[in-house]
Amino acid sequence: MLIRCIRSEKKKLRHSILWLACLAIPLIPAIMGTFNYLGNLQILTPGWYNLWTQETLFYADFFYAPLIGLCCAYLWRLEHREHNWNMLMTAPVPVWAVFMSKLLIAFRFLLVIQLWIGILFLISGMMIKVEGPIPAEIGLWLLRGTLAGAAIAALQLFLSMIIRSFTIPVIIALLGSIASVGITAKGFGLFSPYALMMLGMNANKAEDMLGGQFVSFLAAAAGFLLLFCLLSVVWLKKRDIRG
Amino acid sequence: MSRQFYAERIKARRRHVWAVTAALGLALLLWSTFNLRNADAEDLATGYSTLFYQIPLLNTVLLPLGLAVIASRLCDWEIRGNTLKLLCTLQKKSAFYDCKLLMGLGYLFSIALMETAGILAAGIFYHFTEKLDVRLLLLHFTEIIAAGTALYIFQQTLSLLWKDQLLPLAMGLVGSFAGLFSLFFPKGISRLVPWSYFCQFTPLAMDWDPETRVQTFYATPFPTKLFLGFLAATVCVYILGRTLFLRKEV
Amino acid sequence: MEMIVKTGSLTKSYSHKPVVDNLDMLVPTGSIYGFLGPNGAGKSTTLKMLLGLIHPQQGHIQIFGKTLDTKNRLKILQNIGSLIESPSYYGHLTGRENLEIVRTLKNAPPQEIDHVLRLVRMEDQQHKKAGHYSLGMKQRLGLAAALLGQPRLLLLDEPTNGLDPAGIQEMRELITSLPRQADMTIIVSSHLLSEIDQMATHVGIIDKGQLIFQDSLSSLHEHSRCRLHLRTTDNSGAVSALTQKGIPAMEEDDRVLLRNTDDDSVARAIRHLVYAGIGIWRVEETQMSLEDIFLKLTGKKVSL
Repeated sequence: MLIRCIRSEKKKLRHSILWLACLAIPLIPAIMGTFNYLGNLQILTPGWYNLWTQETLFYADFFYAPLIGLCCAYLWRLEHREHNWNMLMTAPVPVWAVFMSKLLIAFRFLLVIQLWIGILFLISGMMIKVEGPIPAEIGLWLLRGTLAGAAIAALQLFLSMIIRSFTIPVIIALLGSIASVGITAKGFGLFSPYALMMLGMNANKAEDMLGGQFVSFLAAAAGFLLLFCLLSVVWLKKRDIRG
Repeated sequence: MSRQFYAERIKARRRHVWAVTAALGLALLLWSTFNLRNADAEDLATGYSTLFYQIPLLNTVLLPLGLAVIASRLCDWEIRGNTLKLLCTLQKKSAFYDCKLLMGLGYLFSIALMETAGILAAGIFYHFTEKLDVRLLLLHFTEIIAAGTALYIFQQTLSLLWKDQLLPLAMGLVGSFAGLFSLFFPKGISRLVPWSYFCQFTPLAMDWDPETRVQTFYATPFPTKLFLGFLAATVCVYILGRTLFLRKEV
Repeated sequence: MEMIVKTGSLTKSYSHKPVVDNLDMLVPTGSIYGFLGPNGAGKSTTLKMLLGLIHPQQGHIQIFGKTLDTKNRLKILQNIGSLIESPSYYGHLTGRENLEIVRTLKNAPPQEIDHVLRLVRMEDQQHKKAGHYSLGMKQRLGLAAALLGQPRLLLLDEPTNGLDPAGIQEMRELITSLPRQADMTIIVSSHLLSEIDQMATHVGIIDKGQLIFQDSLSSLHEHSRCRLHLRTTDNSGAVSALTQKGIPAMEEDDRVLLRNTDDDSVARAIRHLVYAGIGIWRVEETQMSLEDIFLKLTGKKVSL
């Protein structure tokens, strides 16, 4: 059932430039971050950690959420237009499968973006010949970022589903991310889904931002993911469908 | 033209574009004044300079995507309702484009006003000891309007040409991202990034001493030639955007 | 007869395939011109060219005796109301607000909104959002918008599309009443022959971009000369007897078809058959349907 839903979701995305956006936008931090790293070598301690910081700081702090938010908004925009809601909700599949298929597709985008960020990081580091071994934690950070990303994707899908606007959820993601920078500075990062990304990716410090809080981080990410999935499915079940 | 603008205003009913605008302005103000609560005497002595220096940075992060959202919202209802073919029998295509533009620039203008008023209010509320340089305030206003207008023209054209609002919005995101990064580059390079212009005209520079953690601001000459060049480029973007829209068959 | 619309060798092709091919359209003032053709024949493209929405590659258009060009396009359009393809509307605004926008742009007096709302009978729904309208209501809203500004010429592209049977009937009555009420000329396109037959005074039939027939409805009906069939005790005997006497006839579905249907020929034919001892059960007259005429003109079946 879920497989059929996912397959139909994948078909809907044909001829869309969404993939292009997901591949092109991470190029900006990779290229510009690398040059920034090179330009600031007299202030920064050279090494992989600082290159990581330069490349992922803005990405994790501000731009990840709007980017995945754009993907999620597009997934729902297809339904908000031309009365596709009616078709979607009369298809012989349960509503949870409808939502989960969209979440899994968003997750696929997320995986590709995270992998792409990792690959670009390695390529750029090798091109400018950063010394020393590549720290293994990078892999862990990317993975943590992916978990955080899943929670954000669930939130954005929920927003895009109820708001019925393509653009508003994306700007909410940016504003939420900005607010989360402040929330994290106060030490309440685990309570904002948008802040999980910068915590998980360890984007602004070379030492681990989570310290001993890894378990709470996992709990927060899983909790937000579950919460927004539940909210969405309940909403889909209760609300009248307006084409 | 006034009738056509009035029609444009009827269309904006119940779409709450002003709410998006207000949210953007409010976010900018909160973000820029957030740290003023803990300001000491030294900070208050550079209060205005700090704001004049900081707010353009925040504009660079928020406005490219923010303006993309406003433009897309103003154009999307035309696309959803198949209204272009009706409107083109009632008004000149170019007049339609211009009215839309005027409408969007109105929102940009309100953001600029909110920022300017916010700076003045923050100065009074937190008792800045620095004397307000009115020239800088006006310049700040001009900067947002100039950079924002060019960007808005670009976004509106994309939003009208692409039925699917994905590309215009992705460009907004690209702009916010690239603009922010470009600020950490030397001026010569950042000037090649069109989204960086929210920060290009303020004649203020900052020195930050990592030892003492003290910021000192100093005046730099206003880049008159750059400003005029930018205005000329804006006119070109306008002509190009309008021509592309006029050439599109409905 | 005075022509309100005149086109000369109007041509538009997309990627070298002509969609509208050398069209010479003549619409008499005060008529209801039925623009008939199967889906994809080029009706919408033609109407959009009349409105200056798309530009022809060749040919010229004259409306109200003036050549349509970029300079006077809007001046001409001031007196035209149109409803093209799917209805145009702002989903987040009420029906009345939608009309308010069109009225403002046309610079028509405010009281006209109530007038057109009454004409299309949607006073009760005017404060509902257009996005929540049924397709029929959207279509009526579109018609109301077209009627604003008291246009002299109305272009309606498949106006009964998506309406329920009662709505279709209402729309047809409305359209036919307009020229009398408001001194209007109407061009209405349709792929339904029966519909054009009920509404139009003049007909243009377009197929694959070419105008294959254009004249008054009555002359179209003249093409459909009635046919006379005989049912007899011996059909093949009847045909050979008639042919011998120089009266053209042929067998068709169990019946004998008489080619000449004037009173004299019929009387002669029956007299001969009676002399030849062939019993005549029935003499039947059948009208050629518009479908048959279309088939005759285009040589192919049309989707109905």
